[in-house]
Amino acid sequence: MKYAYYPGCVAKSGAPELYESTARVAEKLGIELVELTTASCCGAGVVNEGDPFLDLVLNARTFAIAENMGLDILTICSTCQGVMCQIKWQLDNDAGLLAKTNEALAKINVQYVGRVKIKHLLWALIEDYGLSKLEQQVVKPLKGLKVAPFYGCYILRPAEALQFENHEKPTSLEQLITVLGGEPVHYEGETKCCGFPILFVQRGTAFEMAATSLNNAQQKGADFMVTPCPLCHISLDTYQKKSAKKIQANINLPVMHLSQMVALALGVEPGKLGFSKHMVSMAKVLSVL
Amino acid sequence: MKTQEVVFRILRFTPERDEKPHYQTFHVKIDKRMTVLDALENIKHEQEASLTFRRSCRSGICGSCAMKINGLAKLACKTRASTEADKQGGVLVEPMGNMSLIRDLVVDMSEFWREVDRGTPWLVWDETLTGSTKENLVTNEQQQVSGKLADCIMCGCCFSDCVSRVFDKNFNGPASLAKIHRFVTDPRDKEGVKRVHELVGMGLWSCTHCYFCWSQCPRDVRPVAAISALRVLSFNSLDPSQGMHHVNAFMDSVKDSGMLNEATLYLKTMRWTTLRDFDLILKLAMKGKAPSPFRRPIPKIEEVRSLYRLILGGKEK
Amino acid sequence: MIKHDIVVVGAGLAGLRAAIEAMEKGADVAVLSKLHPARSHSDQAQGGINAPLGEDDSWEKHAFDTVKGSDYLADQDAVEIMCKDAPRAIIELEYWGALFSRTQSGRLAQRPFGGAGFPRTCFAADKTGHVLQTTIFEQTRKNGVQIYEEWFATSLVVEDNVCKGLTAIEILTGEIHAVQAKAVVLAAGGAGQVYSKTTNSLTTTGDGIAMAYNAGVAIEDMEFVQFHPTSLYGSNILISEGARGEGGYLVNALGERFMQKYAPDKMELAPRDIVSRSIETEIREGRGFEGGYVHLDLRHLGEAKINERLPTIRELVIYFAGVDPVKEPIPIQPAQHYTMGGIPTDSDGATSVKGLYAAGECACVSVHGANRLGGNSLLDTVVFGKRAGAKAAEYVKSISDLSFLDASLKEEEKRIETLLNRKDGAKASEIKSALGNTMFNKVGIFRHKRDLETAKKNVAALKRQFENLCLMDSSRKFNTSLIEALELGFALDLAEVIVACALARKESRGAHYRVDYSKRDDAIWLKHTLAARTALGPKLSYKPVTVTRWQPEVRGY
Repeated sequence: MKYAYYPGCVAKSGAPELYESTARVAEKLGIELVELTTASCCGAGVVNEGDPFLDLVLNARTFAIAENMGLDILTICSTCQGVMCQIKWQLDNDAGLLAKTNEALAKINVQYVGRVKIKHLLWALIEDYGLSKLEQQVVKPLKGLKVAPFYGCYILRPAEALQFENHEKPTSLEQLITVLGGEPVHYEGETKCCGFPILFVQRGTAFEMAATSLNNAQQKGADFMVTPCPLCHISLDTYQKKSAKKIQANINLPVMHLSQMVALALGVEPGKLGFSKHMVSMAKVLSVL
Repeated sequence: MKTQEVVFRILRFTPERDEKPHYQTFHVKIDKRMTVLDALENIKHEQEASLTFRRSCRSGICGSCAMKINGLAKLACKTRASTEADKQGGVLVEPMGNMSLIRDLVVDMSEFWREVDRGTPWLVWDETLTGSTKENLVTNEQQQVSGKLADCIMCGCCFSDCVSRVFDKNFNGPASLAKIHRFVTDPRDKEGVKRVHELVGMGLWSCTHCYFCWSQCPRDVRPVAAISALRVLSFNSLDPSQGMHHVNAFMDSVKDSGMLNEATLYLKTMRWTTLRDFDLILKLAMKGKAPSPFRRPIPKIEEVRSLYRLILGGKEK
Repeated sequence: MIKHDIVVVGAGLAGLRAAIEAMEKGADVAVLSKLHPARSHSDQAQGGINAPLGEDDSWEKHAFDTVKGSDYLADQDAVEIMCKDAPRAIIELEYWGALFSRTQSGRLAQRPFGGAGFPRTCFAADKTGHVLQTTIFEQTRKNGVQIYEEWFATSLVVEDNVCKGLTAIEILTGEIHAVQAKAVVLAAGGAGQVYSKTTNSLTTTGDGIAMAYNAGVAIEDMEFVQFHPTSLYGSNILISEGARGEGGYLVNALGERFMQKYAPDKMELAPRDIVSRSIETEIREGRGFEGGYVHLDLRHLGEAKINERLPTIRELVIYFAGVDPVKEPIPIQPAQHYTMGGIPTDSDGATSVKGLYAAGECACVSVHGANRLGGNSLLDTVVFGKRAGAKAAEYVKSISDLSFLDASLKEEEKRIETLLNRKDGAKASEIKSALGNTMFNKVGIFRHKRDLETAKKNVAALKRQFENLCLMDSSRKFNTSLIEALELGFALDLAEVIVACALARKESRGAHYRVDYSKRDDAIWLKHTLAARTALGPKLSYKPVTVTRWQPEVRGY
């Protein structure tokens, strides 16, 4: 398994623990990640609201770079995944738009053909690596810890663009959690929004969104929450105390990045996974394992 | 046709009798073709006459039968009972969200309609044309965007499942904003882009891109895309809202370094309100998680910058 | 006591158009509708709206096609008015924002439709009704038209042949109100739900026509029920005539384009009565598919054209029939679709009762006679809706306050109380089902005295059962069982009339086809039927047809 690796912006600055733990996972599983160092930010849906065509072209450039490498793209951020899938879906279904995009890309001597696939690590583990094979690599199972999967938005909807699983009843995270030895916990909010996109613009609403989901998961007995998106992680972990205060709830639910959870189960030392960078302490969970 | 027995769990609430809503279970024999509406009619006529719901066209165009089925708002007449049953082992039927309950599956949609009325929901047409017998000349291409937006049947599914609307009652909502965009993009509307000015105060920047409105819309209207398009227009109209600052900061960041510079994005968006998070920033800094305001540009940043120049050209600020 | 100058019952195209006009003319108008306006049945129309806009077209040609299509039963003076006003009426909708499909040069596109000698049907893909209803509703928001939403009108109050208002249930609370009005405009639509197989929505139950009938107005031409040739087999959801207008073929189980036998010139675009009878004949004579349907084949149109002109139909067929019309033919069968008959009015919507007006499908002007051409109903609603609104507004200027007899309200309250409180009795759903089947099987596309007599007996029996109806839900707030029961009452009243009129008319004309009297007989039957309510059932009388330019001829296509 070899991919053109697109870690996204946050993994390289605000969430370095995600970058680190992904590297550990890749190491353990023998996945080769060739980082797309010249690729630009996916735009996170925000550049799309500045200039939609620029957003298209910048992402098409990333696709073209990967195509030139002859590799598919691997992401570790739901937002990158969702944005890129939407753009690919638009370009693959609109010949006129594709032509216009390639016209712009020609100015920098690049062309997007349409061959590249874009996968989140979560999907790659299920589709390419295989869950039963992964199960065999587990050395430190999660010992029945109750794990609340937080899908969020960008990795599920719109389903036409993402085309991976049934957005109404996703199971990828549950399957992964189970295979790693944990017990998935269902709660109201697992496919709802964490509020991150409006965190800077309307934080009150964002806080309520995140806190409601966290609270619901906690009430269902979750030991920790897991998310495939570092932006969700910022909302759910970094701002947890402030969010909880907004709805006047007592919330203390640690949140893992997907890569951290996988790395732990594969036997990587917790110390190498950057848990100390979290705002909500993972100590209790780690003491169980 | 082969039938299977399926359990329907339906929310019940009769205002004269019940203090609060409760669930009632029904068993219904369904075949592969039956819709949830067929099942509800069956229950009403064969098992429980008091089961109350709205319905009319039974063909997905009038919008009467919108309700939550297995937690997601859909038209009952366009939802196959067997598909829902297979997905979740049974069918949970509840009234739409974000609107107050009247009885069983009937909600009070006045909140929804009030939001629609906040936005001048009619074409502002040239009244000097009254009585003339020559139509406005408009091509199908010119009407393409507004035509798709006008497919909206005002069923309320998007409003029901809108995550922002749960917490933000000032948020105008997906259907209403999509309807405004329908007029903005209609070449005959005299207001056109001017309609965008008032939208900031109606929660234009409250949409969180959860894409539920796109997923739940039975007519593929894609309100979230309309909201993004309205934001692009608002961006171009130099409206100094916080949402605009956010977009500007993001665009600048990517042009500057090819990446998102979280620190400058945060500072430029929040400005002096950054002080609110001072404690948090301190803690993050101590953990080594505070992103540096200095971000080295990616290799080949010139490619990114030349694309900016090419596409934004004179539009750049 | 609620008082308005004008109350419009029904918030479809005709009702809202009337309200807008009346308001513009300075009247205090309110619209009363049992559904939110966005849910009105007008919303479901698909194919288009007619206007003689083309350079080689003319109002005379449109009028002639309409008259011939009506099998010469239409009142020609009214038809002339409608066709002359058509361009203005449609372009007005365009100014208001209707998103019509266009030609390359940006003008209103027009497609061919059944029975038309020229392509004069303006359309908005295949969702014309939705586009027009949305547009008119938007304009009512602009004008601030007051709407009593989810109010169910139960009876008209007519005293000394003067309309004084109506009684209505506020569905939300269950309260019965007296609504006093100087004029009432009935625009509550047709009566499809009298039939088991109908394209009409579940709420199209003939309320307006029945209320007028019950208030003493003799209703007209009720035997003329249109069966649309192409409804989806199974659900009877409408598949627009536009599909044939765009070039679709009707094919039987032997693979034959059978319309060749019945209308060699117009083929699939013959008027609806002829096409429905053709399909039904093919099925009866064993050339249909098992289950009783034939095919509508659109494959040769190609995906691009289907997506552009018939996208809604494609979606409907995929969803409700499990078939993609791009790849497979559509299973279709005829179903009830339109009520040509209704409340008799003049060209200004005035009825025989002072202060009572009617427009749209519930009215019988008569512009559709014995058979309606596709695209003329949407036209009828906006032309005559406007005229009725204007006339009503003019009328109320001369009327001072009308008093309302308390007794009418009390009577209604008592009737509904009794219904609500009955502990035991017949079931509405069973009566409705039996009624629908009787009507479709015995008073359908092909009629015979034998079947009509059976239908008469059946309907009488069902009416007796209805007297003893038990709702099994005595709550007041938002009681849909109550509403459905009252709607059933209206449907039963109209069914009785339809059967009586069909029995009496011993000829075949337009949509009324008697196997035992298969010829059109102008000498005796070139006249409109009128049915008045009596204690012993409908009493029939007749009135002449207004012929201006076109003498009846043999009707061949």
